[in-house]
This record gives sequence, C-alpha cells and structure tokens, in this order.
Amino acid sequence: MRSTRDIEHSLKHSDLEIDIHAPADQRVLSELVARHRKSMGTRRAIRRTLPRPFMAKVAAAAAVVVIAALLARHPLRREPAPTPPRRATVSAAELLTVRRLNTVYRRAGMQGLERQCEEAAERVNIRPTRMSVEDLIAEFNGS
Amino acid sequence: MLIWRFKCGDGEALCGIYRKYRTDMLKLAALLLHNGGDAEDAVHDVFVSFAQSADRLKLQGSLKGYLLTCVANNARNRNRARQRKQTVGLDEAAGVVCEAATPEQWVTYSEELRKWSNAMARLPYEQREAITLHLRAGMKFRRIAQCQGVSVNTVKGRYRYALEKLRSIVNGELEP
Repeated sequence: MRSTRDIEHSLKHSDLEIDIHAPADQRVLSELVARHRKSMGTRRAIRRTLPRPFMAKVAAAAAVVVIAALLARHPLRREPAPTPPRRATVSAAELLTVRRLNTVYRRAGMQGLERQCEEAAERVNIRPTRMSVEDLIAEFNGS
Repeated sequence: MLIWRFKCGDGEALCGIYRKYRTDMLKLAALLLHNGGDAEDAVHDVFVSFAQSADRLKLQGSLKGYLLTCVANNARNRNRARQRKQTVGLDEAAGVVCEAATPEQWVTYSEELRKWSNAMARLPYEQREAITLHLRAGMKFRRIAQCQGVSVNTVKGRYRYALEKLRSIVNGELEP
C-alpha cells in the first residue's frame, strides 16, 4: 500500500524516460528553423518599409526636444523692450503753482512740499545745497 | 543569452532551446493528453508558434516555465476539442501512448510513463492538470489557478482529490 506522500514523491522524482527518434526529431527541427528564418525575413522586410513604433516614438521625442531647444535660444517673437515710464510733461513753474502746492501739502505735508520743490529744481537744473520753499518761489518769481 | 540570440534571428539558438526543453514538454503533454499523437502535435504546435514569434516574445519568468505553460494551454484546448467531438470511449483510447513505434513517430514512451499516463487518464482533466503542472512542471498553485481561471483553494482541492484518487488507482482499490 502506497501513501499519498509516496505517490507524490514518485510522480515528482521519477524519470519517466522517453526515446526521441532522431530522423523525426531532425525533421521537426528543420521545419522549425525554416519557419523561424521565414518569420524573421518577413519581419525585417516589414521593418524596412515601416518604421517600428518604438523607433518612431524615440525619433518624435528627439525632434520635440531639438525644436524646444532651438526655440529657447532663438524665440520667434521677441518680447517688446519695456518702455521707460513717461515723465509728466509738466513744467517747473506749473509744479510750483499755489494749487499744486496746496494739493501736495494736503497729501504729504511739508515733506511732500520739499520733494515737489526738489523735483522742480531738477527740471530747471538748479542744484542748491539747501533751499527752502520760500527761496525757491522767490527764485522762480524772479525777485 | 540563448533567448537574446533567438530573438536576433539566430537559428542555432532555436536549435539549442529545442534540444534543451523538448523532452520535458513531451513528457508533460503525454501525461496531460494520454495520447502520443496529440502530445507530439501539442509540442510541435508550441514550438512552431514559438519559432514564429521571435521578436514579439516578452518573457517575464523562465523560458522553461513559459514553454511548459504553452504546452499546458495547448493541451487544454485539445482536450476541450476532443470532448466536443468525442466518439471513442476511454477504454478504447486507453494506452494510445504505448503503441509501438512507427517510422513517422517522433517519440517512444517508457513503461513507467505509460503507467502514469494510464492512471492520469482516469482523473478528471482539471485534477490531472493540477497535479501534473504542480509535480512535473514545478508550477506554484497560484500560477496554476491563473492558468485555469479559478481560485487557489480550488486548485489545492483538485490537487488533493487527484492525489487521493491516484493513490487508490495505484493501490488497486479502483478497477483499472
């Protein structure tokens, strides 16, 4: 009486020999080699006429990278150069009118008036080391 | 290396693969199909498909495992086809593996292989496949379950039943 473990062991490890007949074996092998050659020949012929999908993908990716690099170095549309801020076309005399000075004083106090005066002096190329608002008004009034 | 050469179109590599694995494949097919002609046809078909699919081949495991799985799949298809058009009873078909060699015959099977094949033929195909693939092809139950499209526990059950029935057959508890 053999146990299941014994059966398991016998089936797993027994050699179960077979005798392969050489002529038939050689015939089968020749057929396989012929089919393999034919298959590879057909595939190569197809590959010659059509690009392989993988190669096509690689080529497309390379083309995209090259185009991106070229565009980065030589952009087709240049950004317009930033225009310098337009300076107010207001004369120095206008800067020192009572109305303007009044407005500046209400907005920024004496400091604002000082800045306004300095700007006016710049416009007429006066560079005093120290100048008060009164001096400047007197200067512009010609007295 | 052999596979790489084969994929590059080397005929010698195909010969090497054929000589290395044909014996195991024939034994497995003989146990699964219990018919010498069918077993030879199954192995032949697998090798023909293999030879023609050199550049499409994508191996995830061993080449031996791949080829044995191909044989098992082919044998399953043949068994289904045989069941559909079965006209010969099992008793008449029994022992086809052990017929004498003819000039056209590719393989002669040993006495021991015939004995196991005859015993296997008395098992339902699913049980036969479970026990053969596990013990002879060295496949894990999980892999067999994937091949058969059932759960691992079902495969383990089939294996256990098959082993028990084989034990009964070998011990002469069941009439041959």
